[in-house]
Amino acid sequence: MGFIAPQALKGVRVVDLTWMLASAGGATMLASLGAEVIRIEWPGHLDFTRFGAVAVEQSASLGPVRGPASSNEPATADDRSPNLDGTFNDRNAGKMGVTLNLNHPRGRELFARLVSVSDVVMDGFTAPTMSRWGLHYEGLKTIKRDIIYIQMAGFGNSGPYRQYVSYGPTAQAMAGLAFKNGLPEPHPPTMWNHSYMDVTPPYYTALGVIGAIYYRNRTGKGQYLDQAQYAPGLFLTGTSILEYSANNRRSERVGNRSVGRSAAPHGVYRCAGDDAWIAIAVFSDEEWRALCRAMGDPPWGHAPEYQTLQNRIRVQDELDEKIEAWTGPQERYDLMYRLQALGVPAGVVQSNRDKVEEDPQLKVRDFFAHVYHSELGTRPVTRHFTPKLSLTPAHPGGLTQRGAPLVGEDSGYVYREILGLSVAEVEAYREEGVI
Amino acid sequence: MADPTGRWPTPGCFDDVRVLEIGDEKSEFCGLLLAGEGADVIKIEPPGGGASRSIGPFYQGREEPNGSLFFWTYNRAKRGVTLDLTKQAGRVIYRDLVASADVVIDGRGAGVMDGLGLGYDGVRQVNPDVVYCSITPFGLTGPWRDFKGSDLVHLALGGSTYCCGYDAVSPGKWDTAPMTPQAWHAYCVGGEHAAMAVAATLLYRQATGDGQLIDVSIHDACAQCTEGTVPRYIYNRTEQPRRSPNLVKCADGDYLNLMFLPPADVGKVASLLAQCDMAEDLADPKYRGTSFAARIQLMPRVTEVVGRWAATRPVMEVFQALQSCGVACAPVRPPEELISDPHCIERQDFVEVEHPELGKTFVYPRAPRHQTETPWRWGPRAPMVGEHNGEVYGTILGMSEEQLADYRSQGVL
Repeated sequence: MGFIAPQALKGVRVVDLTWMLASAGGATMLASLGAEVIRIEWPGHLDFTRFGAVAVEQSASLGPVRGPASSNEPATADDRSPNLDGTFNDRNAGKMGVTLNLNHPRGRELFARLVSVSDVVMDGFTAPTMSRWGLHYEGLKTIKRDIIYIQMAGFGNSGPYRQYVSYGPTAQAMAGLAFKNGLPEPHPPTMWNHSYMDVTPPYYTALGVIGAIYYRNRTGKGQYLDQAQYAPGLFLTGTSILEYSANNRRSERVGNRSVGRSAAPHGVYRCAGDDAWIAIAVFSDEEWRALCRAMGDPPWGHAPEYQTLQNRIRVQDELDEKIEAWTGPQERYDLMYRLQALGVPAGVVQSNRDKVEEDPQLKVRDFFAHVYHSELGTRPVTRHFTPKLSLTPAHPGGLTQRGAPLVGEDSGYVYREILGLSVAEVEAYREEGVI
Repeated sequence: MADPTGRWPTPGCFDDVRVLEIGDEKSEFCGLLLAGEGADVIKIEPPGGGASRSIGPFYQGREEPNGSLFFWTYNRAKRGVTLDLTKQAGRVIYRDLVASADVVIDGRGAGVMDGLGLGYDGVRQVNPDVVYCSITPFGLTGPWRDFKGSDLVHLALGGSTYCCGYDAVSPGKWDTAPMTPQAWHAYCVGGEHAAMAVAATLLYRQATGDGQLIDVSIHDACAQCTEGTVPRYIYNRTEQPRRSPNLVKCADGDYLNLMFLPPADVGKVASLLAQCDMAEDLADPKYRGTSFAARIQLMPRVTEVVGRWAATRPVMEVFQALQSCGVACAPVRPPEELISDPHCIERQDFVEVEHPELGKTFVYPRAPRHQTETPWRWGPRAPMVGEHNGEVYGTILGMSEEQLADYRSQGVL
């Protein structure tokens, strides 16, 4: 009823040893496309994201969600439930969850059995971890000849920094992306204050894994993929690299001014209210005339220094002041609708609240799906895979029709149904501290 | 079949797939990613060249269609043909070409190709199992469907802009506008979502024979790319605070980005700085308290102390010293400095691509990942305007030299 299990990756099984955001997200994309993604965790060493800031603050707004209901003390990681973090729910929706101790030799035996009936292994450890367990690509290949193994270490699996620690912001700095955002020198860079290098690698992970499965289906060959967290960021700086290589020009910051295509005005301007802004980008003289109409055709708009794009670029600072004097008292959404109706590219600087509460486009396109989580209940979850597929629509609930798994939520299904263990065997593994 | 064009030595995941790419900056990043994965991507431009050839910077500052570095970056590993779809003969040729293709990437805008009879419904007449990927600013449906986008406008509406900028001067008050992380990322994010979708639908087609329509909205993709900031609002009703990043300035003037340090890491930093008597009070147990809130209040003080030490040595030395004791940090470097970074050199993250018409080679990023069987296809360089007209129309459609010359003189090609 309502829920159609995603079909595009039907029949694909993924063993997920991912971590935090960047590596976890790629497997989530695959789950939302219909792969059976089995996330392996161990209670002694759970993902920090299970205890992230979203759950810490959550108690204030949504009532007690951890520990005794009467406690007003700030909780420590130890007494918090690992199953109540909103970011974890959003980032790991549609996966199954099992517990498995890979530090235990019998745990690695069970892992091998799981690999032998799977298509893909994904991990987000620092580079040498899997090798220490003998679970490098060569090792995995002896378990399953055509396995596809993607390793998502921060700095990749080679090079002098391979053991360095990497997070979204540092990967962004390392990749050359962070340098380019903000006002020109002497102002420091602002970087991207949302974690672009936690959200971008999953696109490349998903593309790479799907491509590798497609290739395996044609040729019978598996392969190893080394997906460093910084690498997609570096790939995205191509034009800057080329500008240095071909023109010997170094990178610079330009604030909100246009990059590559001449435009004026081109900026982010204050509107009425606190922290209210609108982006306006005028590329052609036609768009400029439309903007002048919106402004009520002020006489200065017809002065020669504002008549052509080339002239306007020369007086950008003054132009920005004039535009902001006009936008300042206006309501930002009204202004955007008026400008767009006249053909001027303009957009409200939308906050997260705006995206959740205001944006009618995201609403109509079902940007969020309501998905059941076994402890949080039904919650909105981002459709991380945003394209609409006419025949095989994606869904963040994946095959499980659920948000993120509780720790070990699907151990029964995976060990009994997939691996065919008996009740007694499962019990024995549990007592031994293997699962 | 290593490559239908016979130009590339290694196999690619999608080297049995032909993609037609039509449009400008909206479609070409998706085409670049599929070409990287080995597909035969044929870029169709109007005679004289497509709109993205007018985006700078330009080679040696000369604004001409074959000199856009923007175009070079996003159109590597593709073949390029020209075709005038406003002419009847052009539309006939397009239909023939589509019949030979597996995928169409359409970045022309909602309804434009439909208006020419060449949208999904038209294309399906000649190629029933085609994967048709429409990439539009706001998607094929919804009240903003006809809004105009731009990199700045998309990142503003998508939420990136709101998150990025400098510190407030007082709570909720800023003297600078939010800073949009531009450089055409909106179109990259749209292209990344589109490429995943094309790959997934090709896998489904491999199993079932069925194609389908993909509706990519650049706005949806940008709204998704702000990651955890959205669940933070959903669960806590709080916004991602817009503030300057945690940076320390090093002796060479370059910045280092320092992550929020867990208690154990403050201890490591204290020992490291103690070696040159610059640890100040970082060994104090208060820095290793278990309360997250208390530690976050102490972080500016930690950054200050690290900053005084970092100011005495170059950024790369600071980076390596801190990382060698397990502290998460990275230099904030301009992209071009990576070309000479020892890590990137050892990993061969860059590659020299030949531009034979100039008798030169230029440096490009090699690949967004490394892999064993189907390494990323990083070349050859972007096509010149109409460079592959003869090759594509000749070998795929069997056009003769005379026919090509006729079409050229009629302005069809």
